[in-house]
Amino acid sequence: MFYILGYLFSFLIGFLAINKVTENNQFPLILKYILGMGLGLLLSGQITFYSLLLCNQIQPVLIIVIHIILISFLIFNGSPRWWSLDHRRGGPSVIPILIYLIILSALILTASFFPYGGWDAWGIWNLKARFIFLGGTQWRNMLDPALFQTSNHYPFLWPLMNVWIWCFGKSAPTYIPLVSSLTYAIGLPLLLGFGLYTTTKHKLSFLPAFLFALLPLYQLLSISQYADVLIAFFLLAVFIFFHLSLEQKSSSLFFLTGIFCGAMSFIKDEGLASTILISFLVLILIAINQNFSNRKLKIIGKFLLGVFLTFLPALIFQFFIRPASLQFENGLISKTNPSSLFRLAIILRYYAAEFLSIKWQGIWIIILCGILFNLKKIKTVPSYTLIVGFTVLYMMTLTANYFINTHIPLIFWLVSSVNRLILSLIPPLLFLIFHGILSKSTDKKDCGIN
Amino acid sequence: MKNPKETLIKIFIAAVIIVTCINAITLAADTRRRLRQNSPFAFYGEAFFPLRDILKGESRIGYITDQDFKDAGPMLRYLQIQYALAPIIVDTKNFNQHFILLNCADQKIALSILQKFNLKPLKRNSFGVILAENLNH
Repeated sequence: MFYILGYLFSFLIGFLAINKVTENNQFPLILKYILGMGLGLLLSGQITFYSLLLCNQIQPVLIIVIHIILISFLIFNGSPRWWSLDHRRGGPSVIPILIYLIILSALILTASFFPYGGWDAWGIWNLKARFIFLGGTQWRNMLDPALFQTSNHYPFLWPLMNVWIWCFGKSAPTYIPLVSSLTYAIGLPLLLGFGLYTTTKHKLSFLPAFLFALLPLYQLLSISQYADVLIAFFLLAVFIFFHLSLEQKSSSLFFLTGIFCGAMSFIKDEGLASTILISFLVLILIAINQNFSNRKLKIIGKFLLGVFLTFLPALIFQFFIRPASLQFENGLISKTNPSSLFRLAIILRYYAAEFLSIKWQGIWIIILCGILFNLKKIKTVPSYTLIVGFTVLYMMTLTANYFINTHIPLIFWLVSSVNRLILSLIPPLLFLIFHGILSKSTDKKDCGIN
Repeated sequence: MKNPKETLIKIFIAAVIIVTCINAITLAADTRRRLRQNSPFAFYGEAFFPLRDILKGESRIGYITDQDFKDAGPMLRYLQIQYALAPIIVDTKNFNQHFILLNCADQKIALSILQKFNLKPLKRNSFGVILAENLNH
């Protein structure tokens, strides 16, 4: 019962932090709620990480006290409007809310059949969480080379988020990772729907969110307690905030874009790649955007500051904690397991089969058609350019990884990972397509590159 | 005549609505099937939670199996045992530990390992997995 306090504290930190940063911006309350929960759990995980480093074990009282101090600070130094937020009329009708409730019920029902989640949940993420929470000062045992099968070289923000909630009790109940997973599983379609609604005010804004969330494969993967749903959530948040930052020409929104961008780096290796790729693309897009002629340095500074703040744990992990990966063999120089063009052909053929697979129920064909509708805008609207540019670079990075690392049997690796990794790309692409179709403002000069 | 692009967009949105409805129907059918079966995913590791009381104070135990880790089944069983016993390291390489878990499909092999390593069996669960004490340790 006390565990609910953990989620409440996280929500308050996230909500108040977003409220503080966006106090001078037009920002709907509902998005603050959705992002508050997502960002709050992330910040709680990072606070838990720093306290773990400081005390070399989990000290629940210390972590809870830090949370209370932070919440008090944000209440007393935050936006004076925090208690009387804009309750503007004109929100969505009751139908989308009802459909979201149906989606949530389906997620809960599906999750109840997999209380321990999927393979990576008990084999990697929740296993790490148990080592951290139950291991005391021996928590570093999870990095032991003997545990190479558990991907001991992976970052551990997702386990830390669950450890934080466990701090409100003495045991490590298995339903907490499930509840945390559900939070992001419902948060992602909510963010997509309300993100589109905020930027377009169109009644069809929720359609792509329902298309995505009602996909049986999404339901299954999102409740598997894997870290991929977190990557998808923060990836979408980055693109929505980048769009809003440009629309409102707000440096504080660029700061939040950076926060969400850096957040992915400590979740998993694909997240780290995403952070680097997006940072690189955002810097280029700001540099060539003529709307910020004399504010470019300030905007870049704010964005990079945001990235740095949430990227720091990943840096500490990469340089001081991460054990060497025993699951890597460089196929470019290996004589026993060399990479070959045949390997590349298998990867590309697998992609083709995956994108056309019936399990996606035609969603990739819809995405392809949607992109064709928006081809012109992709060149002129920076947020669209960012999404497409990222998708292309991300797929190239994934392919390079599959091609170069010949340690893991290729087919097994492709079958067990490609669907999870490309799932994260769907919400941003749907955002692009439907924003392009439903919005009338994207043709305006202020959003594009002149 | 209306703008052809607008017509195409209308067709596109109609297609998305149809696919969304198909998704909803498929999801409902999947959920109904699961409810009918009414059997949650069996977690092999659950049977090993009680061992934590016996192994209190241990930071590492050995794990011997006659199965190949290249197959998904043996790996799944090992990882679920590791999950259940965490924060104890279940070591598949170093058997010089006070306690050893023997997970053998063939009980004759299990017996020969017990003799070879001078192990004293302490417990055997419903899956045939034996917790043994290493008398040489």
